[in-house]
Amino acid sequence: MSAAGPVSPRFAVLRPDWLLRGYSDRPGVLANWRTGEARPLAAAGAYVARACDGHTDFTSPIFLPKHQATLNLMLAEGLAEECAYGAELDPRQRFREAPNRYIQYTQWAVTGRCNLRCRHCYMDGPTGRYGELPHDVALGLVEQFVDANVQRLHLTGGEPLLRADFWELAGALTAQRIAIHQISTNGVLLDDEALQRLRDLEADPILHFSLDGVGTHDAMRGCDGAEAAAMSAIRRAVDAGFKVSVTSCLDGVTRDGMLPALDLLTDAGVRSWHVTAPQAIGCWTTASTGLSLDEQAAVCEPILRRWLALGRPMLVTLCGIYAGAPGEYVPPQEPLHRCTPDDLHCGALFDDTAYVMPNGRLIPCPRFIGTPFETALPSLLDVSLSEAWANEGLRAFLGVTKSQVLAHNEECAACDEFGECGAGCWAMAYAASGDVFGRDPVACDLWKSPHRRHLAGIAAGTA
Amino acid sequence: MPIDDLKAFFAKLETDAALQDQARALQGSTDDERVAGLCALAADAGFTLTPEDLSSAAASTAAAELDDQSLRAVVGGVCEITGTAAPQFGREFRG
Repeated sequence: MSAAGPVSPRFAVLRPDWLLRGYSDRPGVLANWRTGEARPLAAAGAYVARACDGHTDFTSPIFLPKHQATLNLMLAEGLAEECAYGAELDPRQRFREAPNRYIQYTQWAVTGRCNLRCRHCYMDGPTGRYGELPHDVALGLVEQFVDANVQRLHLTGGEPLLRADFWELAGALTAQRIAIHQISTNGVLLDDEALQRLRDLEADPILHFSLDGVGTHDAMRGCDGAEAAAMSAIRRAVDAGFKVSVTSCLDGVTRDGMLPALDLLTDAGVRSWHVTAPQAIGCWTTASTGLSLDEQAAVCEPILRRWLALGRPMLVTLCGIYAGAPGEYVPPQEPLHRCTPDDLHCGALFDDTAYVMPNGRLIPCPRFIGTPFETALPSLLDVSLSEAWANEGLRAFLGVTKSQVLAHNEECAACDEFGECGAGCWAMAYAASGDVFGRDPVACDLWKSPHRRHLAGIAAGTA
Repeated sequence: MPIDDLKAFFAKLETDAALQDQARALQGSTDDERVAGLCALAADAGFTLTPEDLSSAAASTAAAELDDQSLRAVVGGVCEITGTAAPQFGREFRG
């Protein structure tokens, strides 16, 4: 190698927003603590990323050309930057290995309490049934997230801003460089001071609000003034430069408020809007104002037409019937993905996503709140997150494949829609029949109906 | 089979933190010494590696040496929220 003549040494460091983490099942993941973005690495990538420490010379023979190429890619992608010898990494960026499998995304319901009385709350928020953990215990959970290398968190509730120590918890997370990727709030407590405190955390979360229609929100939320507070917070959050997303629950009470909401949210500059029917869990199990799929479609069609007329101003999802990106129409590439029996059953969770309840219970998804599964799964008050993440019951949930569901469900196994529908959602199946491997009637109706094709045709200009 | 040994040694190096520490410690010396040191390190780990093997590997083109799987893993990344269902959402908020 010396025959090639002297070569200038070459050093690099990870860029300040990127951290290097390892797990028992992954050699490395580059994680951006501000945005929550993740770049899983193969062994060679992890090897190169570990050497981005300002002290390792990439011209050394310990690096092959493929490692040089990987470094060049990391530089081009903005993950690392070249530097002089001796440039220091923040200690929090350095490689840190957790004893557990990868935990990419965790929703943490920091409180079960709420300042509204929503008719559809899956958490039974109006009763405060799940309470909230004491301050020191909640701080202990932050340490558990650190030890397990949780990459990013979605803070939710109840109403998360109702916690007296919310900002201290959020500060503890960002100090440890855990990304606060999203905060769900009803907006009532999100005043200018709160927005500034959020800005001071240097995090870049999506602020996710609820707005159940114009003129109908308060009826759904059980409190006068909730709609005005939510819209005020939405506008101020957008004006302050935050990425804002909104979910609206559609039922017989809110249906007339949906179309006006589109204009209002467009004017406010919201980035994404999700219209969804409440799910049959929590408070909604006793509700009587739910809409049939046909009724939902009747609400969604004019929303879609208006959204198109406005020039597709935001990302929209309409009750599973339609999903569209903002901007110019791009015909979908068919098929985007066709489900196979080998897929994990829950396409939203994969096996690296979990939900921590207000009482510290670790469950796969909030849709299982209030079910017997809730108490069968581990509590972070009893075991560490690293241990809980290996819990046999939790693994049984997260590792279920569609083939296991099909083996128990002849109707789905024989259905022509399986490739698209994927046998639906096990939580919805459980809510309907008490069998997680049973038929999900919501998905079944949705995929067998003509509504998806009809609305897709409208968006494509062919219907 | 020096090429196989070279690949096997680097595969171990990529995943063995202690071996990486030893390899990085070779950097303070001259190029020839670093190569000799690396060959010695490989021998200690049970692999046969010569300076010529390393020269040959270093002279090969990056494209020929690229591990597609590794490359994909570096640039890759799926939508972490909902998989294939909302890739636009991921892109939207990553920008």
